[in-house]
Amino acid sequence: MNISKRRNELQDYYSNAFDVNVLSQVIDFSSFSTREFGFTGQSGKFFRNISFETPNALQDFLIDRCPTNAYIGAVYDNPPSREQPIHTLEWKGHELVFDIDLNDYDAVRKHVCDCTGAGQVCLRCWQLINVSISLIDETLRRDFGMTEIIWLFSGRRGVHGWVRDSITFDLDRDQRQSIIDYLTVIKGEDEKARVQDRKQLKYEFRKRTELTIFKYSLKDVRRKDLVNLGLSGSAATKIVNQLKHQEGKVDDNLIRRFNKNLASVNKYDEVLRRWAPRIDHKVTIDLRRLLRMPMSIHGKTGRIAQILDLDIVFEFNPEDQPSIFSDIQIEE
Amino acid sequence: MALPNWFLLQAPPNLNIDVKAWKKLAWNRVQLLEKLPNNPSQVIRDYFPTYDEEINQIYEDYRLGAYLLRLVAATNSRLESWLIEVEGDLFEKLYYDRTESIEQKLEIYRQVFGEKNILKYEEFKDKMDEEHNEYLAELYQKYHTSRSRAKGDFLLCVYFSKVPWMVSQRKGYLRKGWVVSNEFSFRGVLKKAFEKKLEEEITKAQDLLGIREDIDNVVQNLEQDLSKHVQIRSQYSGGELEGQDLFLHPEVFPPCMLQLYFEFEKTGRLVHVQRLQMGFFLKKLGMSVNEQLHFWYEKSVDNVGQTFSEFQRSSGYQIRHLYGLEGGKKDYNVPQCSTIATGYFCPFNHLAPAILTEFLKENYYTTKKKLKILNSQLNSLISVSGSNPTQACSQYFRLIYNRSFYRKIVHPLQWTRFAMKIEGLTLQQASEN
Repeated sequence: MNISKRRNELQDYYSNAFDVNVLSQVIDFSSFSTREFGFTGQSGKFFRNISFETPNALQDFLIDRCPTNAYIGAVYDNPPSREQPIHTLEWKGHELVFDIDLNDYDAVRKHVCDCTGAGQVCLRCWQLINVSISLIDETLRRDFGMTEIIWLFSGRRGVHGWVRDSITFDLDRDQRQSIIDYLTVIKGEDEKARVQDRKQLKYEFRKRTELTIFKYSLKDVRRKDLVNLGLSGSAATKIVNQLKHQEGKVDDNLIRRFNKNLASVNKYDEVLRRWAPRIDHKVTIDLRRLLRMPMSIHGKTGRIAQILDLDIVFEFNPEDQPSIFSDIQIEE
Repeated sequence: MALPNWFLLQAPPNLNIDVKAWKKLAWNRVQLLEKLPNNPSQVIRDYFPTYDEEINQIYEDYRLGAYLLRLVAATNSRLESWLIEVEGDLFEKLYYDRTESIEQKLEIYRQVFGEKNILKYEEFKDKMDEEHNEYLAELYQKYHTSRSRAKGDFLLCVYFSKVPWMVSQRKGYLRKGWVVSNEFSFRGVLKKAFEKKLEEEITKAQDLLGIREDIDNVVQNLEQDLSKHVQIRSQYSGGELEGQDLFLHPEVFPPCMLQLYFEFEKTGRLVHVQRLQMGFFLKKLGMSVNEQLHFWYEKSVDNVGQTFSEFQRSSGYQIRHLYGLEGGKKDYNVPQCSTIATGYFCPFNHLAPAILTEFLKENYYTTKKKLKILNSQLNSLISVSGSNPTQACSQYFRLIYNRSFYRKIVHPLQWTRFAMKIEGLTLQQASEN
């Protein structure tokens, strides 16, 4: 790894390809000057309590210093600085954020795909993330009435959700935690995580959860996956054949059949345990949390933390994303 | 306005009243609040008539009495906790017994949660404006077929941010940000919200203090009387300095506690035994268990990502343990200096000489003359600190307060007591500040 070469590549990216105005999709520029930013320097040292008067000043900073990671934090009553660190300032607000990372699925990922080792990602295990995005996004819109939701590739193995609706800006910890509780249907992180009783979930939320999870778990499913799950050989064959017949399209009929098969072998909870959203709740309820800046570079992978287009998000493959670091591309 | 006459959250419109009479009204309210736990139904029957020739005057007097108590609560945090608790209980009882119509109930919800956060079911349905909605169909069917539906119950919609507990527990149907459920299921959160609102009103009441001398005098007078009279339900354990807000005066902390206090302020973290040491000390300085829960929650960095209720459930156990409310239910004392020197944290024993010197020079000193005296004695003090920390601590005390006759310091509370005496800080003053 050549540090000066990487520095040049970062400088090149931030001066030519990065547009600071993209941030307005995620944060409100009216309170820009009192918002906290954080960075990891070229030496690997992390520093926070930094603010900028204007977005252009931020871009100049990025070009000048070429930080390996850039983060956005909360808004305070005064601009954070080394002299006035955030714990001396009054917290004014933070967008509602969600962090979903494949690391949190490590206990169940082996049942979903053939990836070995924590660092590997494939299109099939990325479907776990897609299930979360789909479920959370729809629930926030329909149940909570939120409209301005942006999803962001974290640059490595996860995604971040930003909700910009003004109502979410000054929610306190308990209020944010309540949203997480509502969205979470499994309790615990390991293979034995407890699944919420079906009866406790309201009809529409339950239906939405089942539909989304079954849809993505059946996409590209193999016979051996279904047999391993506990379905009989003939039932597994029928599902795979029907899928083939429908050219991979998962429709209501197929979902109904799958649901019935699962119930007969008592594996409904198992599917939910593997596929239900696993949100890192600490990120959501930490009001002073710094989160990766949209369109900034992930310091380890060199990939851009790009905003995801929800219409084509399910075609997104993190492994296909180019790295701005030339040495990483050579390794790959 | 459909609000029932007993609902007294707003300030009285007119405060032109003889302060003596006003004080009497406040005492009447105290009596009422004190009687409530013993026989709530009787109290409601006796004190809250539904018909009386002077009914308006009765409730106006209640409003005035309640408001004076709020002014007093604004000056004393313990009385504030007491008032919020007992007024919350009274509110709950009155809401159950003395709220007749749906309109009245709705109006109370609007007052407590805010006008824009409450919708009637009909208003909500219009707002949704959807042709086919399985969600609402399920809700409507469940509500109307419920055999346990109580008389007078109705469907109510509250904005989700106002009722996080209901959202967490999925107690209601959530639609476009509105939690829809029957009114009965909102009652638990209504009381909590009322208490929160009352806390806000008490903070607002502070604005009135310091303007009129007669009001300030009556508030001060009543505060002194009530502090002695009211049995506050916060749990203390014994201790000679108990009951005073001495924890707000770090200048009378002994060096060990002051160093821990600064360390915690700076880093947000202390090791287990140091937390115990400081926790016991703060308890004995009169910090209530609730105050201590908030103290650790607000200042600690390890609770990042935890809500206060989560913190109470996890780390709260340790704090309640200090007060003898958990585990073996033992009321612990602050360890004495010899124990602290060996098993806890004593700066004279545990800090490196250079750091200790710096710490001793930086704190407690107010005049250059005192600092000069210390500098001359510092070497001898540091030399004994390792072998006999208690002696070093006592020597340091004598130096900074320029007193040669004080006994050896053998207990942290002893330092505080001596320091208070010399500083002229009486227990009364400490609690006033």
